[in-house]
Amino acid sequence: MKMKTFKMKQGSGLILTVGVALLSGQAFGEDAVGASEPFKLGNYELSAVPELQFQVVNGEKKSAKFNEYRDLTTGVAASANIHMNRDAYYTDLTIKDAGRKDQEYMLSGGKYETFNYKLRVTEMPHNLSFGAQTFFQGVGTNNLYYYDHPYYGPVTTPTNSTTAKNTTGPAGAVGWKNNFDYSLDIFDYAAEGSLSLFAPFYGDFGVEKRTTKGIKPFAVGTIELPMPVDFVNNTAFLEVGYRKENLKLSAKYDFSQFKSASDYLYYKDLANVGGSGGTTDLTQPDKQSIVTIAPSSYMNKATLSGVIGDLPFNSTLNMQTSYAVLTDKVELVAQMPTKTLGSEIISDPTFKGDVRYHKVDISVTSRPIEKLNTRLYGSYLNNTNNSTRITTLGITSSGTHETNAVFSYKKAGAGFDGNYRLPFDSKVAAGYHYTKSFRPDRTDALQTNQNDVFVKLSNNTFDWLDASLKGELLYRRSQFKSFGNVSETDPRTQVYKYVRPFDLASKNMWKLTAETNFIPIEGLGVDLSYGASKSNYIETQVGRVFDQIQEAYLASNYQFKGGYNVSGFVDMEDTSFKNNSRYVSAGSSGNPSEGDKVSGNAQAFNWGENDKTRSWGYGLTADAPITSKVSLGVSWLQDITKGSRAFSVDPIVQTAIKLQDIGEVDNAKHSLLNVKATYAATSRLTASIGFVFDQLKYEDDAYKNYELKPQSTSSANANGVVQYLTGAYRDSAYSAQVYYIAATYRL
Amino acid sequence: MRKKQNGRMGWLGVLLVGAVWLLAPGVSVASTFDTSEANQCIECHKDAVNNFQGANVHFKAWQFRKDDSKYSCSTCHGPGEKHIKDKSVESIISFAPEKVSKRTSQEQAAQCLTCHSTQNKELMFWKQGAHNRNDVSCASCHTMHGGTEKMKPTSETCFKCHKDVKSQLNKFSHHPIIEGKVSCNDCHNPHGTMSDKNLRAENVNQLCYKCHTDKRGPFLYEHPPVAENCMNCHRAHGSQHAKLLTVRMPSLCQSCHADSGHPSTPFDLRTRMGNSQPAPVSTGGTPAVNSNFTTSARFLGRSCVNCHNTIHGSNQPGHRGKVWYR
Repeated sequence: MKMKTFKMKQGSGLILTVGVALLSGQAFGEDAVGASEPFKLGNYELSAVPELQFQVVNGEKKSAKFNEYRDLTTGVAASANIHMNRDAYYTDLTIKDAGRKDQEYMLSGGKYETFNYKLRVTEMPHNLSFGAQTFFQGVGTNNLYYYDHPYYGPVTTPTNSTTAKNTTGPAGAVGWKNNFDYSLDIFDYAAEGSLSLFAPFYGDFGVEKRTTKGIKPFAVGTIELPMPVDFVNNTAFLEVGYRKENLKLSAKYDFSQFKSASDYLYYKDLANVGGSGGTTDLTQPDKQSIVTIAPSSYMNKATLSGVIGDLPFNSTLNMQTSYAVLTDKVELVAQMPTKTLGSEIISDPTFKGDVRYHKVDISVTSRPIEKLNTRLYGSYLNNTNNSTRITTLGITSSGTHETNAVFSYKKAGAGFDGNYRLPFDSKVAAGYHYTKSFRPDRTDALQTNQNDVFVKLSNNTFDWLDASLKGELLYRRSQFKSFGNVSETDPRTQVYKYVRPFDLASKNMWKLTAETNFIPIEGLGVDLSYGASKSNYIETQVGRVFDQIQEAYLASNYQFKGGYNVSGFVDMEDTSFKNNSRYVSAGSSGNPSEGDKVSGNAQAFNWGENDKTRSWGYGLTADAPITSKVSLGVSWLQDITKGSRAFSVDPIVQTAIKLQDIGEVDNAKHSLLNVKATYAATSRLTASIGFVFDQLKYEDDAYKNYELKPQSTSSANANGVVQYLTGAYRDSAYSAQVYYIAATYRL
Repeated sequence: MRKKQNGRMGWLGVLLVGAVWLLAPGVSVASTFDTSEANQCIECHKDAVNNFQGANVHFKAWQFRKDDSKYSCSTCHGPGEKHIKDKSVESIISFAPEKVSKRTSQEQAAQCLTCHSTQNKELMFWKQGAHNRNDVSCASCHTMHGGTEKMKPTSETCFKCHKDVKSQLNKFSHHPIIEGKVSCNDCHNPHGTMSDKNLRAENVNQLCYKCHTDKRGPFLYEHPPVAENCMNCHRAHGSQHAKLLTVRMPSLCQSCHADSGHPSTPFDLRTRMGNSQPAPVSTGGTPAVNSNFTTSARFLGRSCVNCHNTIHGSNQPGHRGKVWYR
């Protein structure tokens, strides 16, 4: 039996969040943090709510998903809220889950209307996947090597000293099953303060340091690698301003320094073993490959903001502009395309990244007549990439040239919206927005024009009923390049002329949202909402042709006499989309309108896929006061998702091309039961005991028959693939039971 | 390791508490809170006044103001003489919902802004913000008469209206909001900003980079849709697909990368792991006529990122960087 811990914090609400909140430690609600009578200590008023909890967790298997953002281990959890004040000064100290990997400490205080400060230290785990295995040595470092090839066996002693990194390490053969977890630990230290001693002038400042350490999966050529993560992000800001009722001005400076312990992960590339290069890595075991890790970078940003009120027509002018410069400097490492040849030649060994981001926003909000509110607004955004352009010449100067295409874009938009109050407590709102985007560096669409309109009607005539209906339309048109320079004789590039990426493709979209909440009988509240939208990607021959989504939500709460309360909800989300594709091989046309051709291995055929995902959840919660001192709470939640992918091919080639639909795409079923009894022993002491059942079932065809072992043959398999997986993300499913007992004392 | 962390935290806590205690000398001043007025109101509004005079932050702050004014119920609710006589809601400034208070949300907010617009920088763009324009008043989220904790809305407060977000947070992949590690307030300023969705940044990417700083580059090879808008591929609040993706890979990638070669190859059920079907004739992951597929790394496990792991940007020169391969 595997034991884990469980802890509790504050929380309330419908079962959807109550249940999960319980698992994250939110079991004691306002009991733990509610206001208590202050305790006098000299001139100080003091109130404190310490909480102590013991918990036991039984888990059927060790799953990172169960612990994704928390630290659940059997043991004791301690939390406390302490407040003290003396005259106009106040101090609050909050401690949550002390000593655990999701611990939080926050100290805040100040003097009313004069200054305030906040000091915060938090830790958060991000567990990605447990129980991974690899034959690489050096897990957790940026140098992965092996002395015992999973297929070839022990490697020979290195003779080439081009790179020496792999010459270190344990001598002789070692096993290839090195166990480790993919997990990140995130620490955040922050301090900030605000000073308004010289009102109407004020000043704010803050510093923060965020460290992220651990291992995450990284794959290259289907070789899954444990990539070390060692990031530090130091940020600081300083803001000064002036604020009166009708004039507010501020200037802010932000700084961010992101430090990555290493720009590269070095590893021995198994994919080239036995490849077309002739010899294998066994004769040159020190030859390494690299993958890039996030680069260290700096960001400096200046922001100016202003608001001017009391203008004609009850108007207010709002303005903000910011200018940010993001830079980095990376010493590039040329790749070795094959083990027998040298490194690629690059035009400049140093990449100097320089991206500048300028944004201007301006709006005028007005109330020209009592029942009418309007807003006129505009924005401009210029993202300029001045980074160095590096040309890679290939192995020799006459090789294939590749130059990075830096990406810049501009967006300009304007619009207006307003609402008008109608008779019978009704209201109509409407708006229009226009955006023009320029993307001169993209290889496909250069310019996009987008128009958005909406109309919303709402009514509150009846005391027991609120209702609203909103409709939205979007029209987007893009100008794509003609691709006249693409070789018509090469179908592998020719088909690109017909591809329309969904983020740019011309499309029409509609969206409808209806909401109501009503009280049919006293004590019973009902919320009901429905939303649907669909995008049709017109002009798209290859790519996404439509996507749509439907959402519905029903929630109800009934308050019985005597304090009994029952609430429940049902929600549903249904998404689907369709992609059209054309497979092209040599000798066939890339034009999807030219039909299908199947002849031997030379093929060109149209195919499509239709993906559907339906999620629905429901929950029920009940709270009952058993006696004046004992209460019982029960909640049950289930959230279910089923996805599928259906394929289609042109009828002409159905006999030759038989595609099998995928029936399980991220299918998940999450069940959560919570039972909790609370005993108010005294006006200050509260004790609780509870049980939680938490289960996640997960099925996905991409993880079916998962083999946690290297490729069984020396060469690539029949699909040209060499697979060396570590088991990342195959451990999503879990089932666990949590037992807890806790006590809260209000000092 | 944990022992070391605990020691560090304990030391830090003691130091900070001690420092703040020393920094809080306190100077007694005459209270500017008018209890005589409150005593009139308590006759009908017993709970409201009693709650207010406890741990309420307004009550505490007003007690120590150094001006000559008197503060009490009328500071927010307006003069009460008429209300004492006719008891009607129209004769007082009420912060109940519009149809009860007979006052618009803008009128209610204006009363709060009398003080707070000059005290809180978060409120700078209140009039431009989405909540103000959609009749969300201060009292929709803040409980004015309670203690400090009740004055501060939580994410649960947001879910009362944003039910779709609430549903998304319970999905397989989600930001740690229900776990209490991220709050709505971290990404959105409910009081209004100059950006869409009340974002606390100029746009989506600038917001995401605050935590996901490793994704900001600059990179030698960018992925243009990524550099322009994270939401092209991700959902912010929750998704049934891992990594908050809008669509499961390889379908997501094949929505755009549909050019010839393996991007345009259909990876159907036969390409899953452990397939023992006969090998196809061709190589490179391409389907072959009258044959079946075998396991393809383009489908199994993490799909496209089994190879193209640097999809947010790469600093590898040459073709491998260009296709976000290393």
